[in-house]
Amino acid sequence: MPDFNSPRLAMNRRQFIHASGLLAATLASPVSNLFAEEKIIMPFANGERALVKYPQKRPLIRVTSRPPQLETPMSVFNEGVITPNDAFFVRYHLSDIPLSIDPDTFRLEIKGSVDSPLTLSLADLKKIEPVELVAVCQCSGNGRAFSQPRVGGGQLGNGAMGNAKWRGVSLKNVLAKAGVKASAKQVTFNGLDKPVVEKTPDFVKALDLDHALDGEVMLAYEMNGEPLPMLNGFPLRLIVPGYFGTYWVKHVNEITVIDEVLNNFWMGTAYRIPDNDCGFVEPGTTPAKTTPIKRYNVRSFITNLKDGDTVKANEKISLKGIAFDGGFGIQEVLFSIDAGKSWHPAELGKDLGKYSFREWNSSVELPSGKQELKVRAVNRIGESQPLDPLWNPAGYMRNVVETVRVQAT
Amino acid sequence: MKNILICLNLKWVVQATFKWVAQATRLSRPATGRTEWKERLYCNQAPKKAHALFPFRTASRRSGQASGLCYPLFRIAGLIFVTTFIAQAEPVKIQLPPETAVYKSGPGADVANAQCLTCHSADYAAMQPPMPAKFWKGAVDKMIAKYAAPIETNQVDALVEYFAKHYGTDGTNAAASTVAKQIPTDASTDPKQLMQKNGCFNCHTVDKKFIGPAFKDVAGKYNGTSDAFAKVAHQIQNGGSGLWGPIPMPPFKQFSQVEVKILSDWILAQK
Repeated sequence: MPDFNSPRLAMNRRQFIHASGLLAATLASPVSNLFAEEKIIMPFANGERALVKYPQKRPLIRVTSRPPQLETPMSVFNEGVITPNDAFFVRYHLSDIPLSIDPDTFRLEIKGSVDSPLTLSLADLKKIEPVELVAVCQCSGNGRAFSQPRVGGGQLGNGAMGNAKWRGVSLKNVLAKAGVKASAKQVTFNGLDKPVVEKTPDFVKALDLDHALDGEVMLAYEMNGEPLPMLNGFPLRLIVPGYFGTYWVKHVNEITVIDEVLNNFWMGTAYRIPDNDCGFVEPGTTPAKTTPIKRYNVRSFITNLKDGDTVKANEKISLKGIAFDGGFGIQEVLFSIDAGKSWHPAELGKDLGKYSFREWNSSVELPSGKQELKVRAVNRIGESQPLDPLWNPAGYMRNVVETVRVQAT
Repeated sequence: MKNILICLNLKWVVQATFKWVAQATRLSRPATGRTEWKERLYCNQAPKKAHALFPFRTASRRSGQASGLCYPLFRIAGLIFVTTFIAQAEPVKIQLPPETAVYKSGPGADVANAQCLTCHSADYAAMQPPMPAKFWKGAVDKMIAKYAAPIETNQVDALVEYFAKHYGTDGTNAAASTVAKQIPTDASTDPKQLMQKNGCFNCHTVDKKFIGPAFKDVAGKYNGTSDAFAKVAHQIQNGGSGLWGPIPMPPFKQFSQVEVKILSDWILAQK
C-alpha cells in the first residue's frame, strides 16, 4: 500500500537532515516542542503562520489545520511558470476528507436528467480521448487578508493560486456518453469530502449546462504528469479553466444533471459577489444584489523581489514575475520603478495557453534609496488592474496592482 | 522505488508487462513493428518515470533487435518484480499531521471547546483579524444558521463575548495566553459531567462509532497493554490522527491532570 507518510517515500536528503534535527530536538525537549514548526509572519495584522509539511507536500503555510487550508509561499512562483504538485495550495471546506482512496475501486457516477446513467471507473475514463490544458487554479479569497476594512473568512495572502498542466477527459465527452436530456439546465458536482455534522450542507457546486458542455471543462486524473496529490483531489478533479477554484471540485465522484438552478448554501449564499459590472462595492457597504462568482480578473506579480529586499543601485538588475487572467490571455505587462509615475512594457515569456500563468521579465536600474516597484497586466480584451484596491464583503477577487518596496544601495 | 510505482498507471503496467514478456519470449509477438508499439505505450500515457525504471530497454530499442539471452531473463525478472509490487499498491493513503491549535483559556472557552471543535480546528478563530463583538456575533450566527453548528441559543452570548475578548478587539487580545491553562471549573469529579461540559459526546458515544471511535472500542484496543492509561491520556491532551478514521481529534489541553485521570480511567472501564 503506498503510504505517503513513510519517511522512505516522503523524504529527500534535506528533509531527512531536518527530520534528524527534529528527532534530536524531540529527545532533548519537553512534549510542547514535539511539533515545533517554523513560523513566518504574513504582512497583515494577526499574520503569524506555521510552515507545515503535509503528506505529498513540501512545507506550506498553514492557514487552518481541520479542514486543511495550506497556502503556497510566494517564492515558489519564482521557481517556474508551473507550480509543482508538492507546492500547490490546498483548500477544503468540510472536515471529513478522504485520506485513503483505492483508484481501482473508485467510481464516478453520472446521473439525473440523462438518457442512460453511468458508473465509470478511472480505467473507463482513460479510454476516452485525453485532453491536456495548462490552467491556473485560484481561490476566490486569494489575498483576502489584505482587504481593508478586514473581512472574515480564510485569511489568505496571495499564495492560494497555482498553475498546472492538467490531463484528463473533456466533461462534454463524458456527458455525451450519458446523453443529456433536453430539459437540463445545470450540472452539479459532488466529491468524496463530507461534512462532520449531518446537517451541514455538503459541498456541491453547479455549472450552467452550456458551460459544462463548452469542451474546455474537464475531469483531470493527472496534474503535471502525475496522479493528483490526495489533498488536491486525487484521483479525479473538475477543472473549470478561467473560473475561480470554488468550482474545481476535488475527488469528484458524483455528477448530476438537473432541470433547475442549484440553490444550495455553496451556490445560493456562499461564493457570491456584488451583481454589478465589477464585483466590488464601496468599502464597508453591503451589495443590493449578489451573483455567483465566475471568472478570474487580471492579476500580476513580481516574483523575484519581495517587500523589504535590498538590491544594488545604479546597475542592471533583473525584474520578473507572472501574470494571468480569466481566459482571454495576457496581452501586455507593464512595470513601474517610480511608484506608478511611469510605466514600461516587460518582455513576455513563452505562451502556454490563455489559461496559464504568463511569465514576464525585464531588467531595470534603480537609483539609490527606497523604491516602489509595481506591475500591471492587460488582457486581450483590454481589462487591467486597479491602482487602488477594490473591496467586497467576502474579500473575493482582489486584483490591485501589486507593489514591492525595495532598498537600492 | 515504490514511489515511482505509485505514479504508474497500474493497468498500463500490467498490460505492458504482459506484452513485454510475450515479446521477449516470442510466444506471441504482435504483428506491429516496434515503432507502433512504442507509440501505443505513449498513447496510453506512460509517465516518463517508467523509463527510469527500465533503462536497459533503450539500448535494445535503438539497435532494433532483441539483445540475446539476457534480455528475456531481464524481462521475466521484471515481471516478477512488478507483480510483487502491484499486489501491495492499492489504495493511496495519507495521514494528516497532528492538530496543535487550542482555544485560549478564559470564560466561554468551555463552550468553544465543546461546540466548535467538533467541526473545525481552533485556528479558524485564531486566524481571523482583530474584530469587534459584532463580527463575532455574525460568525457565530452564521455557524448556527448555515453550517448547523450544535450551539444552543443560551450559549451564543458567552461564545461571542469569549471570541471578542480573546480573539477580537474587546479585550487584551495580544496579552491572552496561547497556552491554555486549566479552566476554572466547578471541579466536578463525575466523568460523565466532565464529558458533557467539554463536548466529548459531540463526537463520541460509549458503544457506537460516531465522528470519533466508541469509548468501548478505545478501551478494547488499549486494555491489556502496559501503557493503556498513558495512551488514552495522551490522546485526550494532544489529540491525534490516523488511528481511528479520517477526522483528526483536536488536543484538549484545558483538563487538569486529575481530570485527565478521571476521564481516562472512565474510558478504559467501558465495555
